[in-house]
Amino acid sequence: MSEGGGSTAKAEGVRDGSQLWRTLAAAGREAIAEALTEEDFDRLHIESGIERFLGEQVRAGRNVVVTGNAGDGKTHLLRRVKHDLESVGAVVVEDATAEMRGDDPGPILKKWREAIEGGRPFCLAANEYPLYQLRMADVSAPHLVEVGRQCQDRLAYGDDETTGCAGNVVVIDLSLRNPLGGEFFDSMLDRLLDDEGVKTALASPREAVVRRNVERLAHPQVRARLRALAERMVALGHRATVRELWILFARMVFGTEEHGEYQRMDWYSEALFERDDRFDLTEALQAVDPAGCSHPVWDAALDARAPEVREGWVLQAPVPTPHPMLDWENFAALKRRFYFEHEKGEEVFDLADADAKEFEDLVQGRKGSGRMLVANLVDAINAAYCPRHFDSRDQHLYLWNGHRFHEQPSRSFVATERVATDDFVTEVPRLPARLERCFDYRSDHIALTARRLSGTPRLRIDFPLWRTLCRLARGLPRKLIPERDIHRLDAFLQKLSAGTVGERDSVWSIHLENLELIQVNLSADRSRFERVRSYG
Amino acid sequence: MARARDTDAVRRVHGAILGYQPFRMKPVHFATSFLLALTGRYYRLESLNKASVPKTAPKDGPRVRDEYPADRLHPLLVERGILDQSVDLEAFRTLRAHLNAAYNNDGSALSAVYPPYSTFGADYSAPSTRYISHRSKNHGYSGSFVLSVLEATAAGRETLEGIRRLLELPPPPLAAFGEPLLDDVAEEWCDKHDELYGEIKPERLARIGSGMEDCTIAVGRLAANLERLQSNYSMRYMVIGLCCWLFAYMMRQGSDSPLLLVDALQGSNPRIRAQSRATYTRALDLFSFSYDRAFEDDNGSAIQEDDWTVFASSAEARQVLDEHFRDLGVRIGIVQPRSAVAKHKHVELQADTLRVLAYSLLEKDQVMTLPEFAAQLRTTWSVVVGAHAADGDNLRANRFGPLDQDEDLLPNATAFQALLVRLGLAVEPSDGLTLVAIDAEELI
Repeated sequence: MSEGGGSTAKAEGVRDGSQLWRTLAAAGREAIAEALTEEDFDRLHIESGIERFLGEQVRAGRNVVVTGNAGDGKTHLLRRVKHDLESVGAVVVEDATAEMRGDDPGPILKKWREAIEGGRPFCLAANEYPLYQLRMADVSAPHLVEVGRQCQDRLAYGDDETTGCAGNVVVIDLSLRNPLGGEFFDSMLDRLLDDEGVKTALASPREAVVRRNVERLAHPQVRARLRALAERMVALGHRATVRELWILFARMVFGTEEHGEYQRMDWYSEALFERDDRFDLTEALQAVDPAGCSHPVWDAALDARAPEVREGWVLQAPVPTPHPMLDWENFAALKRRFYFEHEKGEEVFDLADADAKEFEDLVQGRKGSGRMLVANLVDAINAAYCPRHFDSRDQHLYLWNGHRFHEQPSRSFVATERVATDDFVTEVPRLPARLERCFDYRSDHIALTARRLSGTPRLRIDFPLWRTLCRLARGLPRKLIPERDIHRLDAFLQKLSAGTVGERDSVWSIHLENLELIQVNLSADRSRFERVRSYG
Repeated sequence: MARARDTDAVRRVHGAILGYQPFRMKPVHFATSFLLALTGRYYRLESLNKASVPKTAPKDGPRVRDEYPADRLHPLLVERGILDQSVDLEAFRTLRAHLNAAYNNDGSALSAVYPPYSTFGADYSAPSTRYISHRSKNHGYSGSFVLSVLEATAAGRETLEGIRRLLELPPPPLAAFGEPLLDDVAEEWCDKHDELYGEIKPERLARIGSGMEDCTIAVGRLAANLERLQSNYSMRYMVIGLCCWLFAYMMRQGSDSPLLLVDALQGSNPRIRAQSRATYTRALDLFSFSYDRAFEDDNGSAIQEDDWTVFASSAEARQVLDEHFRDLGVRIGIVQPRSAVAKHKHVELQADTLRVLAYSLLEKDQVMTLPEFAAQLRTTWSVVVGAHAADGDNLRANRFGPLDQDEDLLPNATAFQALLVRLGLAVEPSDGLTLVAIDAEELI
């Protein structure tokens, strides 16, 4: 199965322009920051709309708080634009944690206050907890109240949106920018492929492996399919930091140092799916590995080297193994290359998890979110409490309650209130108007929203919960519902209950030991059982 | 006659040492006792009892006609206007099965108590105070005891105010289901705690109240959070919280610094499982031994030597102590496994129990780091998960081990953290921090 026959130059002793990428390829999640110089960071910087947005906000006199997860690039971003921001009078704090005295955010509060008094915009990069500490340190300051509001209203749903920026503050949450989605992903790979250091390496006769990987990664079809995998990961709730993606891309081009002489392991497509315990993204990639999804026709054709897989490759076909039978590793490698490079490659996912595909279509707006979807979701949520199907199970969401004192599951659930399916809508979140044009946002969830109830209770449905709901619709027993999901459903019903005032003259009761459902009508003064209807 | 004397003696010993009588008590029994003591009233609930405890064959007595069988109860309820005559016998039978599932939802705590039946007592899975009857037999006046202790301190009185406000909130849907069967008029409840177990002197109540002050404040915080959240499960969470208070009280009877190691890895690490069992077993032993120590320290002032002799020579009296501690720990979701025949029990928090403990430690909008939360869990509820830097030292100092920080405690803490995240009580936003809060996902 070897191809190209070249060997990867060892990082050790190599001091050419590709050293940065080789260092990245060899790095773990923690090692990278210390290993890179300011010059390296400059080289890795991808100009995006955020810099422009930040500059506009500051020039308009607004205070800007950049927050997000570690590795999202907050400090890097502010360092890049610090000079420009300061040139228009802004006070810039690049790292809130470094500025704080232990857990005391006093020094930041003081700087911000002074900036306000001096009429200067204030820019701060802060991880979420230091930002929380800052908010709590002065809960009456209008600018911090606004920071809190924007932290809680990170996304906009439907028509609901609090407009404007009270306190003249804009919070940019970089954790919403998933580098796996949008143009940023492509820009990063372009930066790597266009890098002078990489081009220098390509000129070396020893770098056949790099040449081959770069050639393939530059091909539009390979890029499109790589991008499709990334989008699927976003939809399934996976995310990556910029740092992780750089490491992954570098590995796809250069492989990792440990491999030594190159065989199949240095294919870009193998580096992509190679597990590395230091590196969460490699675990997440297993969810979209083409080798993990069987397809009877193409699998058989690949295994038998059938004529239909000898042709149709966008570039040179992989050199097959000389062995008569493909072992698992070789088959998986071939199938991954097939996905990226064969004209029929996308078909490997034809039999992939249908729930995942449907969810991906929903969050990416490729599938409408009409009444049928809402009815199906309502039915599935009811099924978590009432496994007995009845005629209006998809027409109302019943607010089930299984009160007891001890630690055992309830013997029955009772509902006296319900919310009509027509009162719910599904919504795909978007960035709020205040952050428009800041960066691309790719949603990883949809929301089921009770739009007419006070507080518009909202159930966030991410892929794990979506999968559970799909399984509930197919008969998943309550005791097999993941704890996380049952908590979410309970919390949603609780929020709905708080916004519902029922007459309580109709009671639905599901007996979970014999799966018998009854509807009991009470008299208006609730002194008499008037009717008992049994649902089988 | 002699047996009655012995029973009285044992009861006096329990009153003098524990303050109430330990039975094989479930949270539902405690709930009845506490709510009776707190409100000072009860409802007869005869119709509810007859309707929600189905009997098929009649058991008529010489002077009493059994009204529990459906075919006899049906016309009675129709005649009293509780049941519309259009509801036929078959539908009524179905209704009764559902009423039983709803109000006997606590493991066979609800029995027929009206003539010709008189056994076992009746405790309803009460969604409101209107479902509290005086026919409970298994609580040993534990609720009266807890109420007295809470009333003895300022923190306790504040906590009780919070609980009273909670009871005034609209009840959950379950309260509506049985409403036609409820009584309109409450009757005054006579608390016989002092008559049965002797009055607890104010100085003793104050001493217990002071020793339990951290737990009392935590329960008050729980009540405040539940009042704000207006959950349909408020009553359930409150009762679990009060039972946790009682469990902590029992542990503190045995030791000044009790410790329970939670096996968050659910048995996948044999060393954690073994030490978790060891912490539970020691807490149980120390609780049992606390009686002997109390007698030794008493010098005959509160415990009569004759009473003690009867108690000390009764294997049954000893056993009930163990069963009380074990049953309460299991039923409030702290101890596992549930089966009474399982010899070895360990500590494993059930989801709702962890939620209750979190609500008791976190103020509205308060955020704690995981080590801070773990420290609060340990100091207030004596529960250790390995998430605090001092947990390993504490376990070692108490002769539990050997446990390795990296191989044992860290994975256990990670599993505990994962449970908090699954329950929406924690988020992992950045810098490797885990932040714990009520509604963590919305707050941070």
